[in-house]
Amino acid sequence: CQTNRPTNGLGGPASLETLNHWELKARVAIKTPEESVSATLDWQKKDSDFDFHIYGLFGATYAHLIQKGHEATLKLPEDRVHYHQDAEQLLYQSLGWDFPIDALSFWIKGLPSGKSGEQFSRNDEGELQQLTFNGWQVNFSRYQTFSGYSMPKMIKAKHPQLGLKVVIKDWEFLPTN
Amino acid sequence: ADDSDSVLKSEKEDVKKGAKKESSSVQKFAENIENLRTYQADFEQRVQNENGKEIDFSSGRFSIQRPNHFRWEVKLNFEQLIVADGDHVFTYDPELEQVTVQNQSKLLADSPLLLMTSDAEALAEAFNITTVDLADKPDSELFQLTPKKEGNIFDSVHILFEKNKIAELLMADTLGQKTSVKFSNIQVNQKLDSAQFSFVIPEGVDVIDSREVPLENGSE
Repeated sequence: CQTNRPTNGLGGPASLETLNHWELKARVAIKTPEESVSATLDWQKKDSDFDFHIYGLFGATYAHLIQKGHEATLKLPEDRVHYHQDAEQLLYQSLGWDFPIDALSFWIKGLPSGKSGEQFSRNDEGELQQLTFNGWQVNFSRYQTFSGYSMPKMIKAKHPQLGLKVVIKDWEFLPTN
Repeated sequence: ADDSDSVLKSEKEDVKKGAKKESSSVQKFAENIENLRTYQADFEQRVQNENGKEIDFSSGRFSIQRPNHFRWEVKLNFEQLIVADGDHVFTYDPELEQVTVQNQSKLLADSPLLLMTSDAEALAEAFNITTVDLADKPDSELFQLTPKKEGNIFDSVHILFEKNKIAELLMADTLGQKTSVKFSNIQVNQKLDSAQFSFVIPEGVDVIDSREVPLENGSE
């Protein structure tokens, strides 16, 4: 992954919040009341568009969520494909998951999402440590430098109906043009 | 599909050519598998999305000891260890600090690994098996296995044998994603250390026990 830090056009390092064109690869453990799965997550984001792809051992897709402009597509095993304008609504309607994917795109960088009702605490180094939002309890740990930014390697997010553990393998920030 | 209780029985009763071809393919596949009392190889796995772009690579070591033991150890790009000890399948993800324990019997159609440790009967029950003609490769045999039961994450699994050794797996999921697993340094019917087919749950990991009957006597 890139080691040089993207700049804000004035030569200084761009602030992490403003970097909205990135790709990451992670290992994820997903726990629902019915099953527990460990898989690979490929997540690409470009402003409000994103491609969030979870696939298991032998590459079988568990879930593939794509937001492109005003159309969200959710692909599930056995050719079950669902559509909606909004990805979070789509996840809720299709899987019954109350999954804050937009907030997660901040949490994954170790940043609070700033959404109303979110509460968080920082550790002594000022790093985001714990956060609660809409029934989610999120813990951040193992901060390390990715592409020049200090970010958490492990994020654990718990919700009554869904547990998520994410270990980041690779971060890549892409030019915004 | 007929759920005959034994492959041999279905062969006698069913005279339709297709079924004959299928049952002889099942028989041939079962023979190939049963000839591999033990199997050990390095593997390279590549995942391609529906547009043919490679999205993931992993490599490691794979070994089988029939009838129902196997070990799948991913070493590169991430670490993962899957061990089937005949009763349970342990999946250990060190980075995720997690071990999942499942009943081996329940998993057959979902895990291509398990089909290589199953007998003819279990295979015939779970999969439609046909042979794919490889005219230009005399000492190779290609089998296509399609799961009979619904709710499977794979559409089909192709298994290529070269000189009676498993050389490659090709799996297609239901959304057009394809995974190729190529084997090398293949050793067949060598004595294997059986310790590699048992698993002790390490300290301090989340244990997710998705068997019906929880671990009775704790971790061995």
